Amino acid sequence: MIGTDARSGQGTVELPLKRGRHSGWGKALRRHYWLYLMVLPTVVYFTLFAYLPMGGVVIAFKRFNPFVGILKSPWVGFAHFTRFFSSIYFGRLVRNTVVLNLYNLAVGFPAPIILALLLNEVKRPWFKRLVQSITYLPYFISTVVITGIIINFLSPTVGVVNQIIRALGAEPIEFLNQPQWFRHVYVWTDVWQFVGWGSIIYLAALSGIDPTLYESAEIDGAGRLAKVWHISLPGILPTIMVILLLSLGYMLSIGFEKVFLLYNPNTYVTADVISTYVFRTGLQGAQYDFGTAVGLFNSVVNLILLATFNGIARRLRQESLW
Amino acid sequence: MSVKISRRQFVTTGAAAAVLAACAKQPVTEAPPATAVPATEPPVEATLVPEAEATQDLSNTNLEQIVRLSEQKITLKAFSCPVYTTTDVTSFNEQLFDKKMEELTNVHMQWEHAAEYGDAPFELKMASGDLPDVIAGVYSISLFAKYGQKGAFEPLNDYIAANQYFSTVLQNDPIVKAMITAPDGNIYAYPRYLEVGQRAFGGFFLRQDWLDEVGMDIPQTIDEYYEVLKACKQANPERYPLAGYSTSLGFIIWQWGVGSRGPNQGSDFYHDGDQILYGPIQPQFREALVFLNKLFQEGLVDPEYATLSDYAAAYKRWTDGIVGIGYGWADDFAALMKADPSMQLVGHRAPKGPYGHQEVLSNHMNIDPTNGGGLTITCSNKEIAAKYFDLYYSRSGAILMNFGIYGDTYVEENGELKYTDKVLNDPKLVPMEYMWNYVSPTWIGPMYMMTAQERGLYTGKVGEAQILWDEEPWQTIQMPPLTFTDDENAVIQEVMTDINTLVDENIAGFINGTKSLDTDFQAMVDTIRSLGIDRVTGVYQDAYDRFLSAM
Repeated sequence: MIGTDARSGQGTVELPLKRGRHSGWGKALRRHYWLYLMVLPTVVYFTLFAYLPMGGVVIAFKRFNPFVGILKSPWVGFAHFTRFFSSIYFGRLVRNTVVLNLYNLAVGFPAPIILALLLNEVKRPWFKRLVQSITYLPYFISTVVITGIIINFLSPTVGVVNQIIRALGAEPIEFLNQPQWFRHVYVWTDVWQFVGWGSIIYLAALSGIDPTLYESAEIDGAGRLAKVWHISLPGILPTIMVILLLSLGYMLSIGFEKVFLLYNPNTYVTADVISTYVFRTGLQGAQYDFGTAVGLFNSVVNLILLATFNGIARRLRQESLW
Repeated sequence: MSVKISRRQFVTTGAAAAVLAACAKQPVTEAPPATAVPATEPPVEATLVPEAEATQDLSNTNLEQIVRLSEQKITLKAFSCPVYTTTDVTSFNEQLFDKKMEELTNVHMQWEHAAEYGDAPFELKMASGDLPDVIAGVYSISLFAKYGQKGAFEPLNDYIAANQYFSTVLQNDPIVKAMITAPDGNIYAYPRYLEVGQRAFGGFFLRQDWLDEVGMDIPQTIDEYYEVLKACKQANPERYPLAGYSTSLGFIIWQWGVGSRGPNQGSDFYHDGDQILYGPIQPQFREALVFLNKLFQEGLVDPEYATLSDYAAAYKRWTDGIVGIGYGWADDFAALMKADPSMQLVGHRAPKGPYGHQEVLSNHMNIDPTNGGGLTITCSNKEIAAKYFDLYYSRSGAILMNFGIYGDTYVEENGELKYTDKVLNDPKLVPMEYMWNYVSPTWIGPMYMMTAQERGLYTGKVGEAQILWDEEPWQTIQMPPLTFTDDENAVIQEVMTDINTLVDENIAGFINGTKSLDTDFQAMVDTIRSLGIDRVTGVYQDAYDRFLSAM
C-alpha cells in the first residue's frame, strides 16, 4: 500500500471501500464483487503455488528420498544447516553474495532514476523515444546470450575491448580470469542491460507530477537542476522507496545464471556466491534437502532485512510496504 | 486435368492433409487430395519400410532368437529419457527396433518419454507414486541402485539367472557383475554392455597439418608433446596450441599416473593395485602441475581455457586457428572436421608420462555406467519384462539394436554386416544420427553394443581415431564404476563439495601461476586432509573392496 505524502500532495491508491455500521465481508463482497473477482486468480495462484508448497520446506530438516516421500524421509535436524555454516567457504560465500548485491544496488539502483530524470528533461519527443527504445532493448536478451557477448568482447585474444587496449599500447587484461575484475564486469553489464527497462517506471511516475509545480518554480526563478532536485525527485520518492524496499528484500538471493555463466575456478574467490555453491553441490546427487536448507536460510535473512528496512522506512517517511 | 478451386478450399484441404499426415502413425497409403499440396514436410514414416512391402522372410533374418514371449499381447508401461533425435521422431515406438520387437515377441512397450535429460524426471517419477512397469534410459546404475535399495525396483538376480542371454554375458565377463551390483548384493538394472572397440569414445587428437608445417611426427612421450607444442608456437606466435577440454586440462595430468577430474572427465579417485587413492594430494599430481605451469608460462596453453564452458565457443578456438592440439570425444572430432575441413585432425595415443603411463581416464569400461534399465516394484509382469530385456543381449537382439532390419538398414556380405546406403548416405543426417533417430535407441538404456557398429558408423579419420583410442590398455588406473550406500553417499556429498571447490580453484591458480607450487601446494594438501578426505577415501575403498569381491 502506498501511503500519502502530505507534503507533495501526491495521489495514492485508495480502495473505494465504504465501511458502514452494517458492513462485513458479505456486504462488501456483494457490493464490490468485481474487485474481488479480479483479485481471485492471483489469490488462487499464490495459495496453490506459493503457500501450499511451503510445507515442503520441511525437507530442509530431513534426509530426503523422493521415492519414500516427504513424510517418510528420516529427520536429520539441523544437519544440513550445520554443514553449510561450517563449510570453510561459508564466510566467503556470504561475503561475495552481499558485496555483489550491495555493489549492484549502489550502482544499479540510481542509474535508472538518473536516466529517467535526464530523459524527462529532453524536449524533442523523437529523441526521447529513440533513447528509450535503445536503452531498454538489452533487457529482452537472455542471460545466456548476454554472457556470451560479454565473454566474447572481453576475450584477451580476440575481444574488442582488449583490441582497443592493445591499440592504446597496453597489455591485454584478462577480465574474466582475474578475481578483482569480476564484480565490476558483473555490475556494470547489469546496468547496461537493465537501466532502460528500470527507467520506465520512474518515467511513468514523473509524468504524474503536476506541471503547474514546474511553472511556479520557474516563476520563482528555479533553474533546471533546482527543479529536478525540488520537484521531480520528491515527486517520485514514493516510487523510489517502494522499489528500494523490494530490492533490499533480495539481498541474499543474487541471480544464479549470470554468475554461473561468467565465473570459473580462477574467479571463485570473488565470484562464488551462495546459489552457485549450492548448484555445484546439487550436481553430486541432486541434494534437494541441502538446497532447500540453504534456500530457507536465504529467505529467513531476506525476511529479517525486509522487515527491518520496512520498519525504518515507516518511521522515517511514512512510506512503507506494510 | 486441372480443377479450379477457391483459395479457401486450397488452404483448408491443405491444412487437413497436413493434420492427417502429422497424426498418422502408420504409413499413409493413400495420397492426399490431388488438388492440395501438403503444407508441411513429408512425414517421418516415409523412410520406414511400410509393412505391406517388406518380405516377411528377409526382414526377420538374423532375428531367430527373438521369440514370442506370450500368446496374448502384453502391454508394459515404460519410461525413458527424451529420444536422442535430430528429426521429428519423438518416441521409441516409432523406431524399427521397437516395432520389430513387438511384432516378434508380442510385447508392447508403451513408451513415455521425459521432457528433458538428467536425473530430475527420474526422481520426479519416484516421488510421484505412480511408477511405470519399466524404466530404461540414460539413468545411471547408481541411480537405480539408490532407489532399488529403497524398494522402488525389483532385484534382478533371479530373473537374470532364469534367462540365458544376459547371464552368458556375465559368465564371459565377470567384471560386469561387480559393476552393476548394489551394496546390498542385488542387481537393480540391466546395463549398456560394451564390447571391446566400443569403450573409448574420446582421446587425444591434433592437427596433422600443423605437424607437417613444423616437420615433426606424432609425439609419443610427454617430452615430445612439449617439443611439438613449442614448435607450433614458434611457427606462429599467435597460437596457443594446447586446448583445454571442457575447461579442464586434466587429460594431461593423467599421464603422471594420477586421477584428475574436470567435467565429464573421470574422477579424482583412482586405484593403484587394490588401493584407492585421491589424486590431488599426490606428489605426482604436483609434478604434473609444474609441467602445466611451464606450458602456460611459455604461452603454449590457451589462456582462456577456463572460461570456455560453451562447446561452441570452445570449437571456435580450433576453427580460429588458435589451438590445434588437444583432447575430445569422437563427436567433437567429427564436428571440428566438418566445420573446417582444412583442419586435418588425427587421433593419437596419450603421450607417455614420466612413469610410463598412457592414461585416458574418462572412457567407459565394460559398461556405460550412465545407462540402465530396470523393473519397478509395481511392474505388472516382471517375468515377461525380464525376458524382454534379456533378449537385448542375444545375438539377434544385438543385431536388431545395432544394425536394424536386414535388407533395409543393413546387409550381410561375406559374413560381415554392413550398413546400407539408406543409413550411410542420408542427405540430412550422418550415419550415427540416422541410427538413433529411425532405427533404435542406441546410446539410451540397456543394450549390447557391438564392436562392428562403431567401425561402420564413424568413417574416415574419425573412425581411425576411434580404433586407435580403443587399443588397450588406455586406463590402467581408472576406477571402475562403483555403487554406494545411502550413508556413504551422504559422507561423499558432505565432504567433497568444499574439497572440490578448493581443488578447482587451486589447480587453476597453479597452472596460471597466481599460486606458487612451492609453498601453496602443501597448504592445499593440508587443508584437504583437514577437511576429511581420508573419510571419503575410506568410503571409496570400501566400495572398491565390495566390487573386487563381487567379481
